Amino acid sequence: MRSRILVRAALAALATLTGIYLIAPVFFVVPTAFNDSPFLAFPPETWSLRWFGAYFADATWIASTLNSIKIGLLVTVLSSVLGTLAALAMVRGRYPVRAAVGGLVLAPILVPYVIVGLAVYAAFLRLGLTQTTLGFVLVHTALAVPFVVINVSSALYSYDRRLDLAAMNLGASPLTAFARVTLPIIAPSVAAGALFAFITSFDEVVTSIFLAGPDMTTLPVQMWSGVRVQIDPTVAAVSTLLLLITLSLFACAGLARALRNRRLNRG
Amino acid sequence: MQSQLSRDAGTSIDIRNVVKRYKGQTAVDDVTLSVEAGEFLTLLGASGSGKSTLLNIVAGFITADAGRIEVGGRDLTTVPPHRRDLGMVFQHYALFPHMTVWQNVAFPLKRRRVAKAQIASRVRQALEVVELGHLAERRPAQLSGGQQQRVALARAIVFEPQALLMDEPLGALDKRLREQLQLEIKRLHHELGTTFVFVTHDQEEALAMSDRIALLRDGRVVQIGSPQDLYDRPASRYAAEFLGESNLFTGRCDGRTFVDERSGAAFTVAAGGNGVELRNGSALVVRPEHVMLAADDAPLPADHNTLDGLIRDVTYLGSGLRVEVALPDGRHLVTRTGTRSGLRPQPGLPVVAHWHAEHAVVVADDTGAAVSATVSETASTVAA
Amino acid sequence: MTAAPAVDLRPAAPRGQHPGNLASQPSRSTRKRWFDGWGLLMLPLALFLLLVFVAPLALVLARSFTDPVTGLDNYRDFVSSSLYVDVLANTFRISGVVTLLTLVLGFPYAYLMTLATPFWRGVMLIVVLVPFWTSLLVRTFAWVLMLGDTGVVNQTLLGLGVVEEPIAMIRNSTGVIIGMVQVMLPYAVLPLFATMRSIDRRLLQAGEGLGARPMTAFWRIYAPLTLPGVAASCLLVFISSIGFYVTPALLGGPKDVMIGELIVQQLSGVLRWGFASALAVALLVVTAALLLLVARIVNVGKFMAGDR
Repeated sequence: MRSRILVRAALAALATLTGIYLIAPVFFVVPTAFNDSPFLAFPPETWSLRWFGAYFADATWIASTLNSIKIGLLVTVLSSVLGTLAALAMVRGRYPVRAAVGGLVLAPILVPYVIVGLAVYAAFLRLGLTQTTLGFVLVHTALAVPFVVINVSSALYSYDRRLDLAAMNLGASPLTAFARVTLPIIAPSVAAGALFAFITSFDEVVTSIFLAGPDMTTLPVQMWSGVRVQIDPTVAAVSTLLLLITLSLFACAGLARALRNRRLNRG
Repeated sequence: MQSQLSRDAGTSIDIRNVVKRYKGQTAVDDVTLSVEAGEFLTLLGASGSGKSTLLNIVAGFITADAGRIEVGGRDLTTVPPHRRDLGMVFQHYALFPHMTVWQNVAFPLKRRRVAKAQIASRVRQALEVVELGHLAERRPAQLSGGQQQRVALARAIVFEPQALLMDEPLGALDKRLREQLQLEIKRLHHELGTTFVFVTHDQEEALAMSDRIALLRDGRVVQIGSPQDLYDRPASRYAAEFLGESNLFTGRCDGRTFVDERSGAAFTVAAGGNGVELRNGSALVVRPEHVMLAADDAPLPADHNTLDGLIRDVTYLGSGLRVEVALPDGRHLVTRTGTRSGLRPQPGLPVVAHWHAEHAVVVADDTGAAVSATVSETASTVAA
Repeated sequence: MTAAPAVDLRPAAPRGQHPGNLASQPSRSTRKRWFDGWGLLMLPLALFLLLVFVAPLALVLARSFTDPVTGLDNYRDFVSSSLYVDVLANTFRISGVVTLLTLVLGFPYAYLMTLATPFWRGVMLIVVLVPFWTSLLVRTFAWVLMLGDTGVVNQTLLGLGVVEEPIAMIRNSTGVIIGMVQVMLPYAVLPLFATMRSIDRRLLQAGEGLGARPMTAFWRIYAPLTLPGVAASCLLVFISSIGFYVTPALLGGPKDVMIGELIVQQLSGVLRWGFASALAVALLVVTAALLLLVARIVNVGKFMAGDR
């Protein structure tokens, strides 16, 4: 029995270290961002908001941020629509070569992004789509859409089709039944997929490095160039802001889901 | 409880030569059936008998391979479900989880573009009919099973459909709740006067609720009639065994005499008794409540058939006794008696079991040759 | 049925004649259609992905055989140069080490999750999910700051007297591995946890009840049952690792180039489109082959089957 306690203690110690290893790089940048020195010492010798100021004062940073937001929102809309339709077909429909289509839909998250980047760069260069909003939106949508399909299709698999029958029996046309019954019920999953889609686009670095240029760049690409050769301390401030946005988005989503479950089940 | 929903005379439903096949299996095999206006008809059958398929064909959820559905004389065969104007209650309620009780019940009215003020009053009335007015703002997940099924009922009647279809609506409820809701549905039928088509596999439920029962087997209607018809005058051994408990003897019928093949005993059966034409059937059905017990030496009426035996088991049922009598050939007979009958049954007591000739019904033995030799080993069968 | 039911099966005799209609049959043409109404909804996404995703990849494939001249030159260049073969070997070596370390850290972590109380399990799950959700770039940037000679890790080690002088943990494969393992851990822990949770722990008790020592029971009974999950998560980690770009580019040195970086270098540095394409095709083929292996072990996303 004593050996069992020892094993458990060792396990717990190892897991704690692993946990620190997982979390440390996520939150490490937060204190460093409040440094006054450009060398980003840890812990900061003097605290300041200098690099946050630098971020908001720099037109390039702001422009790339706005680009990322714009692209992210467009990707969210496009991938939610395409992904939800595809999930409906996948769960309810009949179409040829199902296995191949299933693979096609998942492929964008399985193929290394470097390859995707290279491929779309080559193709878009000829079409004049590099450094354009459309170009970014198309590529990011391809990368984001599997998350929507996965979320929505799993919701549809657990959906009780008798609800549709009931709706039709009560006088709803198939289209009305879909709009009034199916869609509201799967909406949370569509929203979750949409959130993943936005984050996927907003965080995407690799393919964006290929597509970006002096005419148009995104926030991750701007950060990339701020780390790649020489460290731009502004990146620490931007990273802190990004963490804040991403984590609060997910926290809100988690909270919304919890509230919704409570409302449906109890009060 | 007074309903303010308008009472109508109901609408007739005609099912004509309906056929549905699934991959070589025939789920519904050329069924023709008329439901009269305002009638409570039950489709009764074991699972796989085609009863639910038939109901779904009437509702329009399943397209028949052949045949027609007419409601009120109008051909609905090719009409999509949402234009059929038939209410349906599902076994698992199928309430919309994202809507309140109120919104659920208002749904069919909104689809019919009923004026807002009218929606409010009709939803209120429908909820009052099922006594759920106070729960209007709850969501389905916050209701008990029985309450959910009442909401489903309210939702199905609120738009005053031509008929109400119910697919095992009480199947998911426990026994007490089921019996309570049976009464409520019956009351609802009485108040509304609408045609009800009810699907169940529960013979007691069918007997308790229906004006008429259609017994289905392998996609065919094997007997249709009032509960009493089906119980007292089963058309076949299958029907006899499916509805209620029965004592069965297999053998041959010759004129007014039925010869039990196992014991060789001859029983008198009434010619044309019970209004059923006497046939050259091969099974004799005697319901337990028609079998009486007498002491070994007691005098018996002359027109009674008799069998000697020993009491094997006595079960107290509250309202009476269920007594099993072991026959010399190993089979046993079941009787039901009142608690205050003259004889005091005790296991081991020798008795004479007897019944009046007109209480014995000769039926076709349709349960299959392989079974018939052994079935009489336990002469009584309680339909599940 | 031995005897025909004697009752009239058609109690409702037809009241009137309905000529023609009695034999009305729904169309049988539904049997062989390729698409139904719902199925058509797959078309927009399928077309979108064919145009935006598959077509460019097909062009890459074509280009690897045609640029600058038609033939297998690009592939020949790749296999004949020890420099490039080294990159490939380095890619596999780093990916292998990352996979191994991920398993070594992820397995006990997932196992402890199955033992923990619901509260601690929740905490452990959040610890895994938070990096999953946060930008890869932010995390890699943090490693750049932490692992440098004056970074917090070296400062701590120096302060504790563990080392005499700073260890080089950045611009070499150590840094790459540290960064990549952190990225890949959630991908290993989650499937491992799912596998372990489905194993009945009473099997262990039964083993011990039969006289096996706890450790023996664990390795003989429990561990083998986790093997499918272990194999699947290892393969997925390995597949993802060989395609990495950001982490090796920021944390690695010139001697530890991985294939992803090589592709970018060939393109941005020397504009060897054909050669970069050949490298991409090679990487894609290896990835696809390994994925097929995974698919044989586990049912990758049951939803792919679709028609259960």
